[in-house]
Parts: sequence; structure tokens; C-alpha cells
Amino acid sequence: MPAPEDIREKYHLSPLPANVQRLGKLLQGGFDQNATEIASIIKADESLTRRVIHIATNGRKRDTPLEIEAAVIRLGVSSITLVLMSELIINAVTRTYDTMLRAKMKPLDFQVELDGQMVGAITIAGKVQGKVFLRLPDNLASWLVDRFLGPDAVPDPKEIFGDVVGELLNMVGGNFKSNLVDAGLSCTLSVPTVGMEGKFDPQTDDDSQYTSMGFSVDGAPVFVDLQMKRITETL
Amino acid sequence: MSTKILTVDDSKMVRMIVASTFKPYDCEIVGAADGGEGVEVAIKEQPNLIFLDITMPVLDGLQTLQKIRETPSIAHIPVVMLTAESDGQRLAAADSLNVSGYIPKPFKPEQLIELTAKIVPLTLKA
Repeated sequence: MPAPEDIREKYHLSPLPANVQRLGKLLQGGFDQNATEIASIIKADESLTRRVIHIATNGRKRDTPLEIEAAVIRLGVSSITLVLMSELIINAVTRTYDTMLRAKMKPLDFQVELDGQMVGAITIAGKVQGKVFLRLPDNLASWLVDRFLGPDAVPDPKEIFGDVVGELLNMVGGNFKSNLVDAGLSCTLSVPTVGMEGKFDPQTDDDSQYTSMGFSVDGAPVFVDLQMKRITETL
Repeated sequence: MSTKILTVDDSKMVRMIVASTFKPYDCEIVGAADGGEGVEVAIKEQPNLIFLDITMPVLDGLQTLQKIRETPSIAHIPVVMLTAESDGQRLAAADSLNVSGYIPKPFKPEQLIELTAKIVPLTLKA
């Protein structure tokens, strides 16, 4: 069987991203690694380092900046894994919007309660288990459908809004799942389920970790939520 | 004679994007919403090229590809995977079933045209 990198080259696909390799490295060393070893994996990426420190300090400024090793000890391997996974999601979302919709996403540092929202959910099962949610305000239907298909492609954009959200989530979830598999976490992906919801409740429990990532696109909020069962074993 | 392209994808939007991408070309575009329907449409329509998604209900893309390769009347048709799943396992499975190309989603319409032109005749409408 040809090597994975040879197959990627054959089909002109980009090499594995550095953040996937980082996640694989973290998971292979897993819970036996000390903080210095984990910190050295994170330090390879400046923005990831800033993000880990930001999360470890709850975004508060300190007189003495927190070192990455101390941030790793404070957060623990499970939370660091979730940070690395959310980094994969952020990349997948921004690339999907940029490529398919020619729209730049800006990170949103605060949560917005959406009254009427289209919520898509996709389930990941296997060595890693969890869900990825995509939430968009329902008044984004026309903008989104126009961007995808051009103006006036369909008489009523709301009719196809669910399909559009489902496919966006399929792209984000599919990329995320592929990254997890390439990092050593063999898993499968469900087809997306999509529906209108009022208040969003991810229904987390003690065994799972949850993080919500907000973005602003053309002034409208978009949320991607990641709910993962805590990983407690090394690969 | 125009080139016939079949898009097998459960997303209506993706089928619409493929159709609009090839609008300027002398192409006939047909679609199917899942793998089972995709095999049936391929047998009936005998397309020159198939774009195939992986994450689909009924039969997923790789099961569909296996079925296409096992069905003598459509086994020869070139298949291009058009999917968000491009990990090593999926790539190896598709490669072993002799695919003609792999376009990861998200994609730009130009990628479809560029790859299609390498596989089947593609001419602009007069």
C-alpha cells in the first residue's frame, strides 16, 4: 500500500497541517509527558501559545506574564487537547467561509444569545467521541444562499437554508474528522442533522468538555461549538 | 455530443453549485441525493464522469464507489471524489478503487473545471 504522503501528493493535496501533527504528538506522549514536553509542542506556534496562556489566565492581565509551562500545569492535558482540537475547528471554519463564501471571519470574544437560530449537529464516534454544532441566526438565510449560489438562484432562500447549514457543517466536521484521524484518533462522522431552535443547550456532563467559538461574518454572529468526551488514555 | 456529469451528493446546494459551474460548458448535469440513487442514475444515464461525496445516507461514497466498480455497465466511468473527508484512511480506500481525482471540500469551482478538463472533453457552449 502506498504511503499516506505519496497518496496526498498523487491527488495534489496539501501536506498534513502542522497543527494536526502537533495534536498527534501530544496524544502519542499523552498523560506521561511532563509540562515541559507539552509546552515545547505548543511553543512551536506563537498564536497557540498566546491562546493557551489566555485561557489559563481567563483572559486577565497579570503583572508577571504566565509562562507556558505554568499554563500547561494549570490547564492539564485534557484541556490542552481541547484547545488544540478547537484550533483545528477554527481553521476549518475560516477556510470553509473563505473558499466557499469569499467571506472573512473575525473571532468574536463574547457570546450572543440568538433568538431564532438554525442549528446543525454532527456526531463523531470512535477513538474520540463528541459533537460539532454550527449555529447561525435565521436572518442570515438570504445572505448565505446568495453567497453560495449567486443572487436569485432560488425563489425562497429560507427553503434551502437548512441544506446550506448542513453542508457548511459537513465541510467543517469532515475536515475536523480527517484531522483527528490523521492525528491518530480513528473515528467516523455522521451525516448532519439540522433544525430551527430557540435557546441552544449542548447538554454537557462531567465526562465531556465543551467550548464555544464565536465569529463575526459581515457583522453577523456565527457560533461553532465543540463537545468532546474527555480523552483519558494515550494512543 | 455533450459531456454528461453525474453529481452524487446529499446536499442540494452542492449539486446546484456543480450545475452552475458547468453552465457555460457543453455539459449535461444530472444529480443523485445518495449513493443508492447514484448507482441507479449512473446505470440509466451512463455519465462520462461522476463527482462523488463520501458522507451520505443509504450508501456512503466509498460503498457507492465499490458498487460502481462491481457493476459491469458503469465500472469504467471515471469517478472524482468531492468530499470534506480527506484523511489518510479515506484517501487510501478511494485510491484502491481507482479514482480519477480527489477534490477536498471546501472547493473552488475552478478546481472542478480544471480536473474535469483533464479527464473528459470539456468545450464551451457555442
